[in-house]
Amino acid sequence: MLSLLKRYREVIIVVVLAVVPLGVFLAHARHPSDRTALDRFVLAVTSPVEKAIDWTVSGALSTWQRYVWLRGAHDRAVALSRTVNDLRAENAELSQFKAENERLERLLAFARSRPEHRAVGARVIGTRMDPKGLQLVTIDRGADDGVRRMMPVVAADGVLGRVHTLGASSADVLVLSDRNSSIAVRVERSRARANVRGQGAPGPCRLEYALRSDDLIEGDQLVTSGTDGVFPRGLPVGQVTHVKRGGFGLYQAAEVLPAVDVNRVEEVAVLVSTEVPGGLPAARAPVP
Amino acid sequence: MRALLRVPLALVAALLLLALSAAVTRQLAGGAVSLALAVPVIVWLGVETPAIEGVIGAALVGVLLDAAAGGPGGLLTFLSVMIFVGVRAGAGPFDAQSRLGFALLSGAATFLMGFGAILLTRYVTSPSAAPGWGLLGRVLVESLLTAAAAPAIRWALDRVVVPAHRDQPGFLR
Repeated sequence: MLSLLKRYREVIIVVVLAVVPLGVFLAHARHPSDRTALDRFVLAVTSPVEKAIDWTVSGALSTWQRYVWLRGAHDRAVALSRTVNDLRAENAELSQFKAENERLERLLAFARSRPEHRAVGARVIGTRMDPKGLQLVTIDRGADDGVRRMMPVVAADGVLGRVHTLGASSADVLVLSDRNSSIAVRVERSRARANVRGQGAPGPCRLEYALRSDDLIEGDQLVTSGTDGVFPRGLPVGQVTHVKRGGFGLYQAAEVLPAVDVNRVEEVAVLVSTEVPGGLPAARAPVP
Repeated sequence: MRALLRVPLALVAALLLLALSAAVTRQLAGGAVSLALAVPVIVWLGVETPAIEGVIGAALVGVLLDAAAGGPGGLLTFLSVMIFVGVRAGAGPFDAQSRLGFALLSGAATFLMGFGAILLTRYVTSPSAAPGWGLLGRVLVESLLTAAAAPAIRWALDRVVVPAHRDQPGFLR
């Protein structure tokens, strides 16, 4: 018996090594179990090696693709550059739309905050700020849209000016920085009265007829007083800067920084329901 | 001394090759094709080691394959032993010492191992969960790639693990 075992030792070992795992497989195949300690050991041993190999292979491939195999890279770069330029242009256009939308929203909010006035929206289509002539802004609304002379024109930040000349579908607006523009205002804080007159160029205006005894300090906000027959009361006009109170005289002087930058305004509203009271004298004809 | 370490060294080599297979498989088309680089170790054991030592080594490599595969235990161990026996019995027509012969044996062994695994798994599992025969195409590609890599594996094994240079070809001699 022993000699038989010795004689067929190899065959017996092979059969045992084959049959035992097959039996294990057949016994457990229908009921797969969780990973054994051996499975976890093999994973623990092979994982770091896998990571190292993966890192090496990935690094080699990456180096090859980034620094050696650059065929077509120039064409791709050119195509991507074009795409970037297109996207930049699109982005700029969208930014403009966004800014315009924000301005329109502010203008709409401004108009809605004054429900007593009916407003007609308009877009600025031209400006004429010639120092030798009038300070005018052209808008794309005219008589056909219900716009009339002397109607106040406002932007989202406040007063822009008044309608000066009319066309059927456009109108010129005399802006508050024109020399011929004079707007009756009130200091919002102290309720003191004065006039804001333009100086013939975009930029600061002059505060006139502010009594020397009136309470006026730099930073005061000016709003329309509603007494000039053109502008309804309460519209923002500007901010007081550089107050000059001389040693004598009835009035004090100051500069006014307009609430609306006439060089940048793009959308405006014409307050069409505000009309010049019949009893008041018409505004002086502007003198270029 | 190194002869005593033949099986342990072969096991370490199989472990490294398992890791290499997993890493390279990820790089090769994201896993669309695979490699079975540990199978040439079983073929090498069948060609280069005495019967008892070799079959024990093959069974242990099979255990590692089972552990790495995560499937039902025993399947790849059994198939590894069968591959070992098959190499012992069938290496005659091949010149297993040559690169081409070793590559052919490794490729055939890889294919038979994949085929056997599909067959046995289909036999024991429910039809809905059983692997389809469509996997044989993938097994074939795996065999070809493994065969291509086999000469390099043999070159490495011959230098790291001392071959016994079996003189008598044939089953269990």
